[in-house]
Amino acid sequence: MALALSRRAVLATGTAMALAPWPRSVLAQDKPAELIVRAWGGVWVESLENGVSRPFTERTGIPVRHDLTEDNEIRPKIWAAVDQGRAPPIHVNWDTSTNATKSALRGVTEDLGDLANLADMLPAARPAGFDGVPLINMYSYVYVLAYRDEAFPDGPPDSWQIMLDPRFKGRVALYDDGIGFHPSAQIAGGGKFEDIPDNMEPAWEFIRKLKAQNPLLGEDPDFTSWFQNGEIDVACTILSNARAAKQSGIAVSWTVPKEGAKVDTDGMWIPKGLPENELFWAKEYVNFAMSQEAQQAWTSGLGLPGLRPGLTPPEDLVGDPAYPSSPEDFARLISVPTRILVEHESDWFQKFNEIMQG
Amino acid sequence: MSRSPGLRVLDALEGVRATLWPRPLAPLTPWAFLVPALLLTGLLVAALVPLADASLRQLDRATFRLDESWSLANYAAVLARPVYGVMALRTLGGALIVTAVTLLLAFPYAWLMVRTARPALRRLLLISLFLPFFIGQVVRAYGWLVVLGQQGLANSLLAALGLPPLTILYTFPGVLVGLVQYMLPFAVLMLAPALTAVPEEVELASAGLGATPLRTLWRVVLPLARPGLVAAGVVVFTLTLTDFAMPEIMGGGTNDFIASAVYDAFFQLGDPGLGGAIAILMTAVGSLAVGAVLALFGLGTLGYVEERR
Amino acid sequence: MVRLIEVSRRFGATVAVDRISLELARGAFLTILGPSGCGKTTLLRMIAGFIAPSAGEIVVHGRPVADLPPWKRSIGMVFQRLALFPHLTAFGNVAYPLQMRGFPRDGIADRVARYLRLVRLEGLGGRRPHELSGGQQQRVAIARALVFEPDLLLLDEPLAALDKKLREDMQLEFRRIQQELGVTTINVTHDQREALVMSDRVLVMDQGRLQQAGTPEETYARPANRFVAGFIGLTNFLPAEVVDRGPGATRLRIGALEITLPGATARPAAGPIEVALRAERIRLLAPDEAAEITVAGTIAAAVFEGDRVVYEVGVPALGPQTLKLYDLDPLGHGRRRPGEPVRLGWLARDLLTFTP
Repeated sequence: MALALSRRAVLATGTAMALAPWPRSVLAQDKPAELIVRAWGGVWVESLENGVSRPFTERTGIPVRHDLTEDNEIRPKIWAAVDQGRAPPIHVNWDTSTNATKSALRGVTEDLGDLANLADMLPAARPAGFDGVPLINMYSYVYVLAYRDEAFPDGPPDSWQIMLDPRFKGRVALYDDGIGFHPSAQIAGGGKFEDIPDNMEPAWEFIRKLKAQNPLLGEDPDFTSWFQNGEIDVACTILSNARAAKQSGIAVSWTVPKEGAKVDTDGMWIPKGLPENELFWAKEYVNFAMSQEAQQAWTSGLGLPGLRPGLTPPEDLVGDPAYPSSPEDFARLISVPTRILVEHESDWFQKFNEIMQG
Repeated sequence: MSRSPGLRVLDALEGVRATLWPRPLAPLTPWAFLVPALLLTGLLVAALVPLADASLRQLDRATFRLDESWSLANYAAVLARPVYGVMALRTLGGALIVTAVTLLLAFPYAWLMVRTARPALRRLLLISLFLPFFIGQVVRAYGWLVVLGQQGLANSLLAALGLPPLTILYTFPGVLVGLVQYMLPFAVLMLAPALTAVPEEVELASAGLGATPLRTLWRVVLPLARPGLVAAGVVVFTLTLTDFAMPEIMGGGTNDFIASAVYDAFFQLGDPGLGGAIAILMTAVGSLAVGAVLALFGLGTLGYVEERR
Repeated sequence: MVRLIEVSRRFGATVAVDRISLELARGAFLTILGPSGCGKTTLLRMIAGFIAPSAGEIVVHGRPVADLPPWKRSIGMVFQRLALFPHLTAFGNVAYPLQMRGFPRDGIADRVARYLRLVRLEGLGGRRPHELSGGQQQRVAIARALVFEPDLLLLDEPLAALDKKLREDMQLEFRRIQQELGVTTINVTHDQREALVMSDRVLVMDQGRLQQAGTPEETYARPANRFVAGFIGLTNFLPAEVVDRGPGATRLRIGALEITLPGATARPAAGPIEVALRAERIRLLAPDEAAEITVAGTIAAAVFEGDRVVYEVGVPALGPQTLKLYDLDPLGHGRRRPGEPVRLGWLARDLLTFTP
């Protein structure tokens, strides 16, 4: 923290300039040749391009390049660069809040507390447990129970227990590290939310039963293609992937089961070690991503609720419990504090692997 | 005397060589040719050093940095977790099965390719051998998804015949099928020269002396092709042992090989110490296995020494 | 006894072997002689069973073998490149057919030792082929082909790759072993000398067809056709014409020369024919020496070969062609120089006539 404080002191002089909306002098003098923003592929990078990057380039004249390196793979590269005092490989990292928090704990992220648009965001945009603002949460998303309509002629499933139904043997899918599923499995396995992280045995018991179902394990784009190719009937995945399959004409729906579903957030952060002018424009990019205009376009593309009040939800998601907008919606979702995720999620991944690979 | 331009270029190069590398240095020439290979090998060994160093340092979850001091904690963690044993056994067993099946399929293929009197057949065999090389492992794996998927070609065919669908994709046998198909060209390419070195007359002689074709295969062709078989086996075994893409793509996530565990440790868990420990252990096991094979069959099997006139 | 009845082999449109028949008595040594590509190796491989005949029958010691695979026939073969097993010792090579043919285990070592002794390789059984000289490898190959006491031994030009001296030694060696064991043998070669030296019977082939079969002497002295006459020995061919066919004799005209052939010679039809005259039948006459037929000529070329000189002599009376002849005592008298006039003589019965 001492390091972060001194860093902030050094930057204090630049703050006043950054608050002003792109003064002519800066626009003219210090533009970098391009900004590099790490992103996820598929529907994710598409909506970022349309909602944030293209409008940003139109305003500033700075081209934005998207680096599709996996979030998990870019992290050690950034850490190594900061450790060795080199310039980091990207300007802005679009990241899961949990991973972003790990980088923040390591002290490799710039403080973003001085960004003007942050004041207009919901309180959840600021990460808890830090003095400053080492990252900004941009939107939330739900790990829903997605299913093929055809497999449920008698109506949608209402419980995660459906994954254990013998007729779905070999036709259930999860993320390959079980991300987003551990808390839901805890409740579905008869455990209590309060016991996370100290007693997760009910979750592991549920996952062990699920292992006997021969589940498929994959990453974001896998879910969409598995639904398209008829490989699976049910899955625990982020709403956006199921919605992408549905938009391509596959009869796929989703639900928040009675046990609830994990809600999480993604954010953005800027690695330390950028030259002064590049840091300035990277911050302007993140600031722009929080603007009303960018939030509306970007999060509608994703089908996810942005963390800025007053956004209009996409038509197909109005009233959808997986697109939480009211306090009642949020009450049905399971929100695990980032602090716990940062400390324990690696163990959960390992435990999940242990069961699945055994 | 007029000489072709090509010969003149060669003569000019020879002049340059004579200046840079005068005759007294000639005894060193074989070593000079080895320099690039030694450099590459040296680089690989050098890359193992930081890996080994990381494997001796534990990750601090508070800062996500490795410890300053050395310990064997990562190795203890690897050995304490049964899942790594399961994955290591799956990888070793898979590599053995894939090696055996690949050699079994590659041998007749290479034999036919070398022995056939029909040029058209040889060309067909060669083309089918090289085509997959141009396609690459990942695309081929996706090709298998198209063929073996629930609604893939194989199952459409079975359905048309009124048979129940086949579930091979996303199972362990499915991974092995993909690996065998991937490894087959390597094995054939390493076996073909070894079989070319076995004169057809020797096979005829054996038959004339009273050996049935199977006995000729066992007593004459296999022993003479041994260098090729050992080389192909070692290559297929080590490539399979370290393969990542095929189990990832065709295993459906629950049939990972040990390389996936290294990847997960590095990237999913962000723990280079643990990843390093798994990688070092895996390198050790692989080297031991290859060393044992070479010790058993003699280093000469790779050098084609002796036995050739 | 070995019998081939009208054996043919076609490869696509080409006929490699065209209706060959032969009979070979038990214990006899037959050589199939012909230029490369004449079909002799194909014929041998059909007898061995490596190639199936397109037509015809092969009978070895009363047993038709056409339908038997090689490993069920009792035929030993020595290959052109020997085809020894490089991974086995000399002993292992010779023991191989005994093991494959199910000989009693405890008798094998003695039997192999006996055959290694027969081919004079005592004490070398432990060596691998690459540790043996070319001649020693030949001996291993022949021991291996004979050790199981086959009905028939086939030799596919195994001596072709040897240098001349070693080849001639091995020719005698093969013959000695063959006669010692009394094994029926078929040898294939393009070397006329080898055929004459080794064989009881010679079979001459060309373009897949049988040209002549007989003893070496018959084949040499009475070639059945122009091909055989040309293939064996050094032979002069001259165009000629039959001018008169009497009951006891035939008159021929060769260039300006008219010759009467005695009745004993085969009688050619009237019209243009070809006469053949072997080089060694022509004598270089001393100035006052007489001969049945004499011609005058001039030395065109002389090639010294050590034990003889080969002369080419232009004889205007016979036309533009030169005659080749030998002087078998080149050191006994002076060498003739090109341009020197000479007289040549021969007997009328040495002239062989062929209708083209």
